Order: sequence, then structure tokens, then C-alpha cells
Amino acid sequence: MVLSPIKLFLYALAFHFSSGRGRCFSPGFKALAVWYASRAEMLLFDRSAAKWWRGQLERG
Amino acid sequence: MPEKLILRDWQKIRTWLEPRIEAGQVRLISLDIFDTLLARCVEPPVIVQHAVCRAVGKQVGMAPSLVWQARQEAEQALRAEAVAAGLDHECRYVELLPRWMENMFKEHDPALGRSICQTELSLENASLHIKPDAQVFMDWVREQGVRMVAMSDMYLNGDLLGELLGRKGLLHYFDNVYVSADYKEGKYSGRLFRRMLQRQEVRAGHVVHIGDNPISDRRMACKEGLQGVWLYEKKDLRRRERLALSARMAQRGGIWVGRHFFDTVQTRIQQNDGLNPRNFFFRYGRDVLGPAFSVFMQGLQERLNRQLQAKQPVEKLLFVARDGFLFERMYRELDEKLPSEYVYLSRKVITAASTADGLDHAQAIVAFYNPKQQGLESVCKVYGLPEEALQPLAREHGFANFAEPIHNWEDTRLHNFLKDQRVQSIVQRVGRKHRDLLQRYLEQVGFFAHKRVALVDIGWNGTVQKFLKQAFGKRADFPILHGYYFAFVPKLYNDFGENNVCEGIVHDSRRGNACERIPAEFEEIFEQGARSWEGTTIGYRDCDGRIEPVLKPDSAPDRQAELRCNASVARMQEGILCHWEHYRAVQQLTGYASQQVLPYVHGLLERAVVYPTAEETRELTRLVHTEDFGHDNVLALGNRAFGVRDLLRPQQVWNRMKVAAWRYALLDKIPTGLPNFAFRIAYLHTVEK
Repeated sequence: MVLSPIKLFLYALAFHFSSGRGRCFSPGFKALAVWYASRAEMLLFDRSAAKWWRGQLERG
Repeated sequence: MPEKLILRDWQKIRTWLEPRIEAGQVRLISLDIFDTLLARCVEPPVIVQHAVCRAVGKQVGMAPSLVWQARQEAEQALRAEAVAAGLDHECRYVELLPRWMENMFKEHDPALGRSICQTELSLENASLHIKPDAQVFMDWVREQGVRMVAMSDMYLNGDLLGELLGRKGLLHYFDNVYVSADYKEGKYSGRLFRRMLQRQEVRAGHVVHIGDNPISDRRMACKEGLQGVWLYEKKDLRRRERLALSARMAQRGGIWVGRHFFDTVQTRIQQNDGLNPRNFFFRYGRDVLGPAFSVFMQGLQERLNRQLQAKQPVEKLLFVARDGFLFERMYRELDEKLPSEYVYLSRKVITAASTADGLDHAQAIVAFYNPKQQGLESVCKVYGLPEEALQPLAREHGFANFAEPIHNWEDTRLHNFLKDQRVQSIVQRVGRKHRDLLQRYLEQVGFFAHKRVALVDIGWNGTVQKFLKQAFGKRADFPILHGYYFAFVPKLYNDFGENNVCEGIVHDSRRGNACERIPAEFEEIFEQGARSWEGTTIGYRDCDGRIEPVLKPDSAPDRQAELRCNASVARMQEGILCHWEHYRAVQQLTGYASQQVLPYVHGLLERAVVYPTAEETRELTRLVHTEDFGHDNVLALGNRAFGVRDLLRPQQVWNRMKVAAWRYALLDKIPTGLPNFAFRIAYLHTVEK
């Protein structure tokens, strides 16, 4: 039920290459970039892990 | 100072507690409520408050943004007053409610207050579920004979939170519920822990507090002498982060709104139904057809509301057999609904009645749209005409074989046959009989008793609606008809006449949007998912003055095939109804309109139809499809998939592709989705031109 945005982007390309009207379920390139940048940020700067380390390192 | 405890799951907490309970060191366990015992399917939690404001705005006829502003002002004022009184930064819902209403209407209406309060509780209840591991833990604690209390930093006061816990079936676990709103003292300042210890008359050293917040639930508890445990559930934190990102992306519009919506629906389904093993058809109904049919039902509801607001209300909804069966069941689940009925109509009985004034060429060729048409025999089957009476007349006009397919629709023999008065007289006699019975059936279901009636069906050509108007449109009491279809593709007819409106909600070919055409590329699966388990209506009979439908007998070859598929269809419909339940809850919480969700649903259907998984192809091609246009034909949904050798015969491949019910299933044996992608481009090129 939850599709990866890149899949939707690729599916919409078929419309882009045929009728040129493939925008309807395409996430849009810019939004796609924002999405993956946010995911990468979540992975690299793992806030919950940072919280865990903070908890581990704090006194008492 | 108690030890530093950061534990990753409830099982680890239990392992740590077990020896201490046995040693009598633990007398009371205090549990945080939100994100510890109960998890939300929406993130951030403020979405629930926005949903409350939308519901209140709708109830009092005020813009949700103004309702939200009034609430924020009241809440901030109360929190500031608490701080000024030397208490914590807290506010109580029972104090918030009158202040909020005064901000909106300059007066406090207790009845409205109670209604808002119930709305808030209902929406909170819809967004929350019990974490299964937490409940197992609480059952274990109770078996150990250790008392439990619940604690929360929350604006709902204790009795309301108690009611919420009661709705979730958790209240009986606790001796008491301590909420920051009641005392204006929070866990984060340590004051609520002190209050709890004093009330429970227990020493801090004998109490363990468990919660998901490292500051409030561990550090502050430990500072007050309780054993604080920070429950660090990585998976849960990841889920919340993912949902929060989805919500942020939804602000960009486009497919992101739908993606956020279905991310929330999926989370809710997993939280409530994730542990149940489900078979393929249930999952297909829940995850593929469920979103499509649910957005259709929401679109239908929105259109009915628009009619109401325009002071042209639809007075009765008729769900047309057989594919309206599931839609009627889904409609029954709604809170606000119009009088509705499931009506036994089919293309066969409607077309038969439409011949009461004779059969013209335009009507006759409708039978030839079927790829398996058998000329005049098909015309007789479609219109319920007596073959034995018409066969000799057909021979006179040059039809040696009555079942000979007629590919040239302008065949002179056909024109002459239809001009023959003897043919028309037989047709009219039978047609009048069909029309009289149908008319009586329609009167019985109240079709003519309302000014404005809606027909709800899966699609595709609007045959029933077209022929109803044709057969009875001259009656003075014929209603204004609104046809709401899942997908509307008027290939057969364009003119539906005056006061006869048709609209495809998920797909309407007149909108000219190639991306939404996907339901028309595999119509059969949508019909299978929505259809009734009964046979199609082939006529009516008079049973002591009451008109009863006559259904196709179970002995018919196509019906036999259908009966074998009924169990799978039933599982699919269970899955769709399961989805619908969660869809409605999430719709209330997010407030998204069907138009906002629809682009994502088109993407979802594109995936399911054009890029099916191996399991989907294997299971769905076991289903068979039948049509209700008078034949006993069975259409297999699957054909032999292409192999590598077939690639050497491209013309043959193309021809098979053109006639297949589900073209993309033929590519099942070729790995990767690339052939599907390439074929999709090629196919879109041909249909666009």
C-alpha cells in the first residue's frame, strides 16, 4: 500500500515517454530529492541513537 | 540514587523486575501512558487536535483555522496562569473547554461543550492503539500481585483519560490515574511523582516507573527516589520519525498527500491487525482494491454532500446489482447516510425492457461489442428475445446460420431484418412484458417516488442508466438521475438525455487524463472485487403481487465457474472492508479530501495492474470472469505467460496482448519490470493516437 516514491517516479516516466502527461502520480524530481535527502539525514544523524547515547553517558 | 536503566523492550523490563518482585522490593509499578502503553498511528500528535478543530468547525459552521486559533489562545492563557500561580506549565481540559468556547462565541454552551469533549475522546481513541507487548507485561504484573498506576503529562483531566483507557479496555489494570492536568504538576518537574507517592502512601524506593521519555520518565523519577526506567524502543521511534517525515512531505501536495494518508492507514492496520495471518486474497483486497474502493466511496459521499449544499439533495441511493453489492456494504458503515437500497438490475433486464417500442440498429449492435459475439443469437441473448420465433424470419433475410458473427455492422441483411414488421412485432410483444415487470419492480423499490435518485455502480458504460431513461424517461415521475461510477468509460453511448448525469469518480474518460485510466486496463479485477456472490439478474417474476428477481441458476456453466471463485472473492471483500474501517478513521484524523488522495491511488493501481508481483499474477489468474449480457461465457483472467521464444514472434505477441484481459500478466515469466515498462510505453503510444 505504501510505495517507494522512486517507483512512482519511474512508473510515471512511461507516461512521460508516451503522452507527455505523466505528472499525475509522479512525486516530482525536486520533492523526490528532498525526500531522499531527509531519509539520508535520518540515517546519518540518527536522533534516537543520539538520545540513547546521551542517556548512557549522563551521570546518575 | 536508583540505578540507570535504559531497556529496549518489555521483555527486558520483565527480566529485570522478576527477581525484585520475588524479593518484595517492588510494591508499585507506575506506567507512562502515551507512547509507552498506547501508540499513535498519526505523528505528530497535534494532528488529532487539528482534527478536533475541523470537526468542531463543521459542527458550528466556523473556519477550522479560527477554531484552532481560539483553542490555542485559551490554552496558552491557562498555561500562563498556572505558571503565575507557582505551578507547572499545565492546563486542564475542563477549564480549557469553556474558555475556548468563550473565545469562539463569547458564551459557554454546556451541551456543545459535552459534544466537543466526546469528539476529542473519539478522535484520540481512533488514533491510539495498545502496544501488544505492553499488555502482555501488564497481565504478567497483575499475576504477580503488584499494584499499578498510570501517569501522564497530558491536558485531558484524569476522568477523561480514565474514560479513554476504559475505551481501550485498560482502566481495570490501574489503582489510579495521575495526570499533570489535574494537579498542574508534571512528571518533568518531579512534582507529579511526589503527589503520586503521597496519595499511594508508598515509599519511593518501592516504586518503579516506566516510560519512553528519558527526562520525565527516567531522570526525574530517579531524582525523586523512584526507580525510573527509560523504555527505548528503537522500532517505535523509527516509526514515529517516518510518519513525521510523511506528514511534512504531505505539505508539498501532489502524491505526497496520498502517500502520507496511506502510510497512516498502513500503520493503523499493522497496529490493529498486524498479528493476524491473512491469506493472499484478503491482503489483495486490503492493500490494493481497498484504497481504490475506499477513495471511491469517499468521493461519492463528498458529491452527495455537495448536492445537499446546493439544495438539490439526492433522496435515494440505489446500488446496482451485482457490482454495487460491496459498495452498499461499505456505505452501510458510514455514520451519516441517505436511504439506500441494493437493487436487482442488470444490463440484460434493462436492455430487454428497452425493446418494448421495437429494436433499432443502434440497439442491435450493442450485442456485437462482445468479442465472442454470435450475431443474431447474441442479439436475442442480450435483449431476451425468443430465438425460435425469430430464426425462420432471419433465414428469410439471408442468415443461414443464426449464430454467425456479424462483423460488418452495416450488413444489409441486418438492416432488412430489423425493418421487418413481423420481427418488430415479436420484439415489441416480448419487450412490453419485460418492461411491465421491470416497471413494477422499480415502483416497488421506490425509484419513481423521489425527485432525485443516484445509481451507484462500478461502471463502465452506464448501460443501466442509459436504458432506464430510454425505457421509462417519458413517465412524468421519472426522477433526475445521477450515476456515480467507480470508472466511467462511455464507449457505447454518448447521449444520456436530459436530467441524466453520469460521473466516474476514480476514472472518467471524458477528463482525458491518461494517468487515471488504469482501472479500464483490468476492469475484471475491480468487478470481481465488488461483485455479489449471487448470480446475475436474468428477469423478474410476480410472486403474489410482489416482484422478485430471477437470478441465473447455479447450474449454468459460467455460474459454476463463479461459485468456485466465491470463496476468494469473499476473502477479498473482507480485506476491502477491513481497509475501509481504517480508511474512515484516518480520513477523520487527517481531513484529506478524495481529490487529494486520488493521484496516489492511481499510482497504486498502476503498480498493481502493470507491474504485478509473481504471487499476484499466480493467484489472480485463477479467478474467472463472467458478463451479464445474456451469454454464458467465462473469461479466464490469465493466459499462458510469454517465454523467451515468444520474443521471436512479435506480431503474435502483440495480437495476444491486444485480446488479453490482463495484458501485463503475460510478462510474468520475464524477469524485472523492464518489459512491463517498455510495453506500457508502447501501449500508451497506441491508445493515445
